[in-house]
Amino acid sequence: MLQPNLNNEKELLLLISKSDEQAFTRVFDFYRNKIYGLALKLTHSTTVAEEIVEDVFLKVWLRRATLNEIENFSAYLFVVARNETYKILKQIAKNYKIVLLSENNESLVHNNSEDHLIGKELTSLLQKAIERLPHQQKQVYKLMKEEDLKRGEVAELLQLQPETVKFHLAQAMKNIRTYCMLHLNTIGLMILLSALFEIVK
Amino acid sequence: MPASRLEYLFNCYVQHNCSEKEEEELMNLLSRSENEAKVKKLLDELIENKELEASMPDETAPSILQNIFEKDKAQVVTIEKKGSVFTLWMRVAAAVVILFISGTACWVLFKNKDKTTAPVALSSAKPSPVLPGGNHAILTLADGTRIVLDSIQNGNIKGGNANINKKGPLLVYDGSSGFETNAPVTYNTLATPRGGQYQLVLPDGSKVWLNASSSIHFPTAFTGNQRNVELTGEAYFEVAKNKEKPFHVNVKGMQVEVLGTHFNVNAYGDEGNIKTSLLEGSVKIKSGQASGLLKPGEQAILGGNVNKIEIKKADMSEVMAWKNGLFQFDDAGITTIMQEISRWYDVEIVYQGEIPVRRFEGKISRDAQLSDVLKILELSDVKFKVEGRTIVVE
Repeated sequence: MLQPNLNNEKELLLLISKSDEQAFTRVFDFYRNKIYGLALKLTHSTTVAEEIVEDVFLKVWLRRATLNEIENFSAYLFVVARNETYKILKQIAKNYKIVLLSENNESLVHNNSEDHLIGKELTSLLQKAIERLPHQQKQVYKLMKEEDLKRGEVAELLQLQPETVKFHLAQAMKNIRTYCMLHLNTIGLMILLSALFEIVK
Repeated sequence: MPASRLEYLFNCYVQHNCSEKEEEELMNLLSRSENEAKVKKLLDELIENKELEASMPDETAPSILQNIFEKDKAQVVTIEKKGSVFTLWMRVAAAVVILFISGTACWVLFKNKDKTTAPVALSSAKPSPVLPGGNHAILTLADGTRIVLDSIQNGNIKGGNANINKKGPLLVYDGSSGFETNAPVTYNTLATPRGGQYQLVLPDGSKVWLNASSSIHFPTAFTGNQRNVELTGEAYFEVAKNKEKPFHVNVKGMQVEVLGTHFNVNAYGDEGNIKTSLLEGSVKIKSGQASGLLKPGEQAILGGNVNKIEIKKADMSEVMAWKNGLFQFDDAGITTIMQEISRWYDVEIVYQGEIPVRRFEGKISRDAQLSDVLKILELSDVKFKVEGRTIVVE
């Protein structure tokens, strides 16, 4: 059913339960792609999938003291991954409509209300999302949305096919969107919506 | 929704085969607590899939590991519910946030405490503002004396042989002083009016938060081998542990038995039922011939049939919203919302014509002015007319 375990998993788990960071890194490297794959399939966002990997392994590390008592580590790991992924998926689902709506009004793209205390915070959430984009997506996004370049111009500048530029932008939007959907329940929520309110008003 | 529709949408989403509408429909289903078991099962099935691996960029691995080790050292736990962070932000920013989403309309209203609210023309005459509720309650002693708690000073209250102390919106019964076991037990009642709420510490140290239009009837000392109280309306309990003396909440013929735990009882009867929700610990519900055991995160619903207890998972943040100073609705009908508003703002609701079928979802601070709340609801195509203390829904 699952891939063969690490050869010396039992020993590694014992070491991890004693806070051995190297041992943990080995286990992390062995399992991370599978967790990442699961997360990616469910969120379609590389940014959020990376967050999920971190959340899952953080939980394991925080509970490391009892790790050596676990009979089947991979089963345990996947239960943690499943529960964490469910929580995040539900959070994204809850904010799904809000973010989509704001996007249609272009307010997610750029908010220039500098005088509004809120505007600054929206910019901050947005900036965080942009910062976490993979390199090419970040480049394309900034050139198109911040520098206002056209697709053809970006393609020439980056030596890419226009179709590729279109793809990167779409992926970037998807990543930003999903990141916002996940983190909207903290400061972002009312910020994003205040931007909406500006438009509705 | 039949499991197969959810399964169908889930599968096509995972395979990138969904239309926009289908993805939206899936997200709607995923956001509901009642689908939790089904979704988790689908996740389990997905995990069994051998081709699940995807290459996470190698550059990100070291930074993730670093974050993990640092977060552990900083003792930052990032796992907790985000709902509480939202409430914390509200206090920090010192602003009233109101959020309401319904159907396709979605927006937010900000009220900065330093600015004055824009006047709302809800009717031709200028109405006196309907204020939100506050800490109001009446304590009735064993001899029938009624004390209006908001109008007395902090300090001790003379109440028979009980040691009662008022501290702001909190009433504390000190049960540590000795009682003659032969002395008859006296009962007090704490009641909140519409627009009121109060907190109470019972003689055994158990804490009670009382919502508007509610009452709790309790003895001034828990002698005997049980702790019994009677409730009407809604309250949240944090019961002090005492294995020798099980704690019972009696509500309209139903009994909740607890052994040291945190739970909420909603006995308003808004939708013709009594809801008991468990946050922590363990609770047994008894009604007529039936009984049921609750686990944390579960809710017991007692409807028309006194011998039938329905147990299901519920969204605890929605259940506890009132205690945290919020109205929170997840897929609620207008009548449910108006009932809560009616109790907290102490207004009457009248429906003219057909009751709108719209479902609502959102959070509103309970400190908001009624006019603000109605302004938001109106954006979702529901019209209100405020006449004094009556709201007419058209």
